[in-house]
Amino acid sequence: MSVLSVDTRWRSDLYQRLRGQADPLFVLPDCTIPAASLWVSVRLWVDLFRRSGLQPGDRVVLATEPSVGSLAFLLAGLWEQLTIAIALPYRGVPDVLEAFDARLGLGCGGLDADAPGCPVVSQQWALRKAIGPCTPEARLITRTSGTGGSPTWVVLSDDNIWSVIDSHREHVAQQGDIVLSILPWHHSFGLIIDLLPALFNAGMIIREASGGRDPRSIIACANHWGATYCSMVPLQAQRIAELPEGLDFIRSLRGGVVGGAPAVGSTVDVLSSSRLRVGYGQTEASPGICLGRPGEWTAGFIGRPVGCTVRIGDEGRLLVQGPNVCMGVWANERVWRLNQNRWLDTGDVVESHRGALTYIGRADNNFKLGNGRMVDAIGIERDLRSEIPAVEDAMIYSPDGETLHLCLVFKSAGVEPDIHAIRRVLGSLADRVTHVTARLDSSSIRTSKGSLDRLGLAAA
Amino acid sequence: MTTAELLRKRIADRRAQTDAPSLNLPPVLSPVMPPVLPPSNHLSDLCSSIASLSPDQLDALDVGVIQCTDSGKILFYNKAQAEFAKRSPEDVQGQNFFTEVAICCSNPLFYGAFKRGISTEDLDIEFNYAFTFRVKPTLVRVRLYRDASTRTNWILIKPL
Repeated sequence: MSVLSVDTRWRSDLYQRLRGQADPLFVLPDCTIPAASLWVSVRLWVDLFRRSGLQPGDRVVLATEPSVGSLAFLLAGLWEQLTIAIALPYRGVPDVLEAFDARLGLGCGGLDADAPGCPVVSQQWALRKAIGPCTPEARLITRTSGTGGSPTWVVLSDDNIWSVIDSHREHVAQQGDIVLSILPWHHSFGLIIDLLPALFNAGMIIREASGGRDPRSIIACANHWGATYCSMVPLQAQRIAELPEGLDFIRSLRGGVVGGAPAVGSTVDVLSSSRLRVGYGQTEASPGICLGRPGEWTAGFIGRPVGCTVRIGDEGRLLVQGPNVCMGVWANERVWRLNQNRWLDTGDVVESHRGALTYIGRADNNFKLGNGRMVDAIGIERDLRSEIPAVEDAMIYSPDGETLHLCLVFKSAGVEPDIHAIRRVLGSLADRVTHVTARLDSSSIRTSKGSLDRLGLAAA
Repeated sequence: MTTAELLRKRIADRRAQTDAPSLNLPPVLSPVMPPVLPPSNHLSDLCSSIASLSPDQLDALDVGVIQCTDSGKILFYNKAQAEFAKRSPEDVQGQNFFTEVAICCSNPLFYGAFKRGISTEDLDIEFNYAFTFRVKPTLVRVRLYRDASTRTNWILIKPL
């Protein structure tokens, strides 16, 4: 851990790592660039920010796909202590600058970058005047995946980001690693757990051309460059492993973190035969909470806490406290600061066995399948009740992350489930339903408080 | 057999080949840096005659030309390259290209390809790279070439 204050760490670490250095070498689809040249691109962005009169805490928007330009813009923003909204999902939205009350944005209003990452300013470009105050303690504004409902824009401080980089550093990309980057850079997992540690440690960073969507392209790219490290989500691991040469690729990797959704079924078998480790977290936790050991995999296993403290609260909910817990949220065009010492409720129900945590499900009614697909259980259950008059209550749950079980409570005995109506409500999820149970007593699927007892039924 | 069953069988097969302990895995792949691009005609034509050109003829080219020893010591640095890099040929002559003049090239892609080509007596590779010329990164096409008859090594650099 550096003894430097976080205010100066971006500068000291980026300076040492990039200036005049041959590596890390960045290989992106549009450009191959060594650290020394990237450093110059970063400096050109810093010059632009200063010429534009930007001050620490001024907000800027990054709304481009991974490129040397987006990387240089990001690093220059960190250098200048700007607040960077990672807003790729809003790319092309005309008022994205207004959404974050930002002064400027890469990919917005005529400001762009060329292939080696240097600023390209069109004649139409103009600096926007911010309405609200600067937010100097906010370094990144990044969106949650929406696991617990509608997406939230989370605000991370330097302390938040560095706490995770430092606590995860010895477990992620190491010196000399050739890192294959297949996660999105606009998600905190891809950015803070994968890209930034690789930038500070690895020898090469290769951005795969399909952005992680095409398993054949991933394997070809890995073999071409001799990748030794690759982080991914379970679905990517599954799709890669299903290809004839995919299992050998996964087993050849020296390391990588697999996170973003619980691994289940045959993905667990694939990963337990590899050196990859599980990573668990949420954007609200910057997003590092737990890591497993290389090759340590069982269904739902999410590792042990790293760099933070956890406890299990009511209903088995995982609570997190520590420097990784986000400093606030962005809403209504301002930063809302939250108590840094609070216990963050992840909304995930877990079990602990000697400190090793296993994910059971979401405490709220929505849950993710092993492929990352969210199941809107509340909506489905509501529609089942309304679409099928004989149904009084309904509950959907997944015992294994792959299949779905449906429990219907009928108003009276002797009623047969209307399969066609059920299929209509479930849509494509209907193919995952392996069990439909009929009951007559609603209390049998609800807790004494009245909430659906998804866990109790799954356990039964 | 389902996909999951197939996968489990494949995993069991791999494990039977390599291990008893679950993480006794095959070694990590060694880095391989194959050519990134097919050779360009312009640089290919130049390579075929470069060893026979005089210093004046090399200076007249619009392509950066560096001749170096097997260890990377600079023997010749033409005017175009001096202009691109803002370095005088006299200053860099005798220095090591990879460790003293263009340190940003001392990585597995650039220097690794050079060393491999020297060791196999087969140095002829071309790729794109972002050099820093005139305080601005610039995309260039790089050709590393060893002339077999004269046993001389050439680095050709053409801005894109």
